[in-house]
Amino acid sequence: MGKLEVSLEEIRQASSDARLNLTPQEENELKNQITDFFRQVTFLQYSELEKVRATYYPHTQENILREDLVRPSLPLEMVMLNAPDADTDFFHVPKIVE
Amino acid sequence: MSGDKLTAAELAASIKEGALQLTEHGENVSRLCTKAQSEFNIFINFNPNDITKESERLAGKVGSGAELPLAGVPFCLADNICTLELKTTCGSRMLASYRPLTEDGAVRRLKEKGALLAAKGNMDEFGIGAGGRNSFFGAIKNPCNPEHTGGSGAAAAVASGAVSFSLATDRCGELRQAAAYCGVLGLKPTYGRISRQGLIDSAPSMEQAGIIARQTKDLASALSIVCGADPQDPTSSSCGVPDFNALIEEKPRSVKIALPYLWDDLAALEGEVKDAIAALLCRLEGNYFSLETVPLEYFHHASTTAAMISAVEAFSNLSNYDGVRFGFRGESKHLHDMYRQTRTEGFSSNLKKFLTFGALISSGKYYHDCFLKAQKMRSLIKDELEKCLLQYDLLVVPTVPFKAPLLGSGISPLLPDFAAYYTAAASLAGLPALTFPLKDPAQKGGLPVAGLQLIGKAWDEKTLLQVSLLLEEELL
Repeated sequence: MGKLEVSLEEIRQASSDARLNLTPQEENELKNQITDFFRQVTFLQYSELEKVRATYYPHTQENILREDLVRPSLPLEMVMLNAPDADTDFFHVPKIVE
Repeated sequence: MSGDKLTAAELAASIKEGALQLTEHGENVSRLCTKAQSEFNIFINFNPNDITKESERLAGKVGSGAELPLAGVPFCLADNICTLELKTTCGSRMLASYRPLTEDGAVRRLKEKGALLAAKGNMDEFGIGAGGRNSFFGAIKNPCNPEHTGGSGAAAAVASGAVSFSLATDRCGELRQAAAYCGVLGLKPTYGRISRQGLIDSAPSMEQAGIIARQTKDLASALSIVCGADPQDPTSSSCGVPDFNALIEEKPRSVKIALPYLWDDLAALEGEVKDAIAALLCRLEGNYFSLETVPLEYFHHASTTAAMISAVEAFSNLSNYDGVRFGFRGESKHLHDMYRQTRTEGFSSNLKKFLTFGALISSGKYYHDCFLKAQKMRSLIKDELEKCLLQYDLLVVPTVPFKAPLLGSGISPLLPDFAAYYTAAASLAGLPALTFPLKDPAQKGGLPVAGLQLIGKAWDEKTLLQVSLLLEEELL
């Protein structure tokens, strides 16, 4: 694997994927931070990693299934409690279409 | 009689016997919290009237003969652990007015045993980093020296004497780092020991609750209560919970300790920290302990590995902050612009950069070249630690390479995070780890020099606590 180089275009695409606007200064700061970071992460070049399994959780987890029974859900007034803009039973959002 | 110098068990016993009145004690806790808040900006949500009311309610229960082993013991919660009565902000503008709809499982257990929730602690935004300088609610000052960071409000609250213990979260080692900065004990138990239900986390495969306290016995008291399986949290373990209060009274016969070869080969390691750790290790040898250096090939990759994994998990986990159902909303006339405006204004610059990094390395060529390799390196780090701990009881390293940074030195970048150099490995492997404070006797009342971190076998918090008590009572 060659040396990893990140471009400003890639950073702009990633911030867009994360639904975030970065200022030009933030984009440049992040580019420099990532460049330095990749320089330090020497193991990215290790070829022996190809045969290693990935670990996603520290311990093996069992799938715990509860009984398929109907249980009370949150009351609507609780669901709406933290909404920035809501009516009694729906959330208000700006329009989607022009 | 004042309760702030007693262990949790002694305090609860004094209340039960009537030597200490709960209502007066509540007023004292309230006074200490008010003072700590005005001096160190430790808390985000704190209401003296709530403490008074809760003390009165507990006094009624004690009076009616209820068995409450933590009656009146004041504790602080990091502000990403949900409670029904107080807002939970995660130190972020995004959740500045958020009222949880559920209560954390561990908090519920503590309250059932009579513990007194004093306040919600200030914290870095969504628990990412322990610089203590990236909270929407202002920087956290260190009670040992207010010109330096306290790391987290949970650690600073314990160090200030306002509470007996705190519950906080540990992602890449933030709990342990903050405890070391403040000169107190910090315990991250085995992943799965404490329910994560009700915890607003950013990196679910590593982040978990832990305990900060001034005394080992308080760690044991709280741990005995908060551990255990929770049907509402599939990551919680059904592994049996021993009575840690009883177990720590047993002295360990001989403890085999491993020290990574070249543990001090790090440019960021301050000379003072290195000397303090080296001196302590010399004192330990022969006193219950045998110490050997071991080669660990992958340990030094832990902080960069953890940074990549946690950035991707944070990018995914914080994607639901869009201004629709809860939290801050940015103004816009179009839905998609509103999502973007909400997240751009609701998150700090530091967090936005971290999330962008997570988005970057979970996509395209970076997925295979970075993220997947980090997950594989996690396997190597975990296997290496577990293999080492088959031969030794504990692994020791410093907790943080440096003393608490100056508050005026700006916000620490999250990439790279040198503070996590020694703490990230236990987080990746899900192993229990405890930081023990080292104070320089020549600097009475000054900034703590360092923390000694003990990493144990999975589910063996007992040995960590026994060694901590031994260090506390006999060796230091």
